[in-house]
Amino acid sequence: MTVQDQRRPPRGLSYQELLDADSREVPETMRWNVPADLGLADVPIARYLSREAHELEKQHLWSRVWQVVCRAEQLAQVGDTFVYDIADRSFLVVRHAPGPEGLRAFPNACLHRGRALRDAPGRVEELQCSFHGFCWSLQGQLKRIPSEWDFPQVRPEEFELPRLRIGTWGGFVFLNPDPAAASLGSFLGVLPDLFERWPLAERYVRAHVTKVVNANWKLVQEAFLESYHVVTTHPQLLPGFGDANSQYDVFGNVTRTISPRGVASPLIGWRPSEQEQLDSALDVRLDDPPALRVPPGATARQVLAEAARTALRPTLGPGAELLCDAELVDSYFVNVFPNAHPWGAYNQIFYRFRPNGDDHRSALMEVMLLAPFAGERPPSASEIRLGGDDHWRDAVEVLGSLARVFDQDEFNLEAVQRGLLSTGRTGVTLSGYQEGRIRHFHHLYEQWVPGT
Amino acid sequence: MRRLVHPLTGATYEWADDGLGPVQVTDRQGVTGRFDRDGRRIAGELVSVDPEMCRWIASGGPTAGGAAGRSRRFETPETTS
Repeated sequence: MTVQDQRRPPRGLSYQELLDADSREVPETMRWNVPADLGLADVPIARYLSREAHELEKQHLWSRVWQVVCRAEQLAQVGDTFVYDIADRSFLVVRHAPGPEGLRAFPNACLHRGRALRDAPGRVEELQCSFHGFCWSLQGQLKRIPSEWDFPQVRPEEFELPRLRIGTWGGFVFLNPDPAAASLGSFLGVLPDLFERWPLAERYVRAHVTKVVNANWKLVQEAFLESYHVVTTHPQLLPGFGDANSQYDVFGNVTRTISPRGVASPLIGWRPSEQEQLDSALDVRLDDPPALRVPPGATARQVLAEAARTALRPTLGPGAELLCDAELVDSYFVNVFPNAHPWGAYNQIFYRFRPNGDDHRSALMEVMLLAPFAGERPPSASEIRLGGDDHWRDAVEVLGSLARVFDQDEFNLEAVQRGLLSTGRTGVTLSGYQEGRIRHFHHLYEQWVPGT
Repeated sequence: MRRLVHPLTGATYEWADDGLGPVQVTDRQGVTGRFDRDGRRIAGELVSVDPEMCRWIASGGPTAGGAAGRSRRFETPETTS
């Protein structure tokens, strides 16, 4: 049996069949159906546990791949700087002029004695090292050296800050330390096509939370590449979440899952009413007042879609009427190799997963909610940082019910890291279809990080 | 009490914040127990429950609405804090 043969869930409709019942015309990109078919081999466990793998990632992945630095609005004004740290390296991004060509990226290090030029984001007029005062312009040209007479070997034209490659897409700033890397556009491939109807550059950061998770960054990320875990990790969702109806696609460096909401999981042994499917999606319990009601003849998906459409009218205007039910209701989660997760449609979610500094046994999981707006861009939410002993539920005021979902995910992740240390096995066993995006990640990973 | 039926087992999970663990679980045979937010047994005859369901019940709190019930897609009168 091939992966192609396994795409239809054991019970219930395929995702494409669900799209056929939509109240609006469905975007062409949601009709794309491109599963991964990469065999059934195990993924080596050492990849998650060994220091050697982490060192190889630093050498072959983080030093060569396009990666998200920050939102462009964090570098909106001339003089804005942003410090981007990945593993043991630090980079500095600077806006020196307005417009798309007005960004530059440098290693975050003084060319004199190596001190980091900036410790944190902020607006400056020049880049002066706080150790001895060597100073560069925002474009990276040497401006002055204290006691210049004492450095006869330094020629200003040869002492510019080394420039790194930089690019933007979707309101995100990307950086690549490798001067020989392919262009950002070719790296992203179909990504702009997927988001053509939902321009992420026209969003603002409504919430921003970063948390330390005591597990390898790849292990944490992989929990957000599939809906296979929903049946046991988020059982409360099952009456209104078609986990096993999900569609999984791969497009070069980009992958996606679309999981239908407002339909019951094929894995439960009973048929919820449309109202029960709706109540489940809204966490309405037996004694709670109803949040929304399903009118006679309507479906939970239609009610959820209309509620979301209504919420978007003030910002999207007539454009909200063109959005199909699936765009408004379903979980549409995209991954850009190696670690950025911009969700599609108006889900608003963005994740990023990184090693926690130079520690391969812990990770930073970053969550932003990217909301559309009308008129003047609202200010970005301040970042909330949670430690390894904190809980996602501590951020419920800004993340809402999403924090409670992450709280359930977190319950497993550190236990997986402990379990992998104890298993005695050499590999992790993945499914052929539902965990195909994880397998695809490792397929790319093996190309980028040889020897793991 | 805020009650939710486990969609797979049929057991009822409910908030019962009387200092004896925030989650009360009653299985389909009527056997009950009290559990903490991670599904660890505090009291009662019932021995084993779904820890993730306990997490969901505990983090939802004793009343509907508020931040814990807020959707990222839209707000309803009941979920608006």
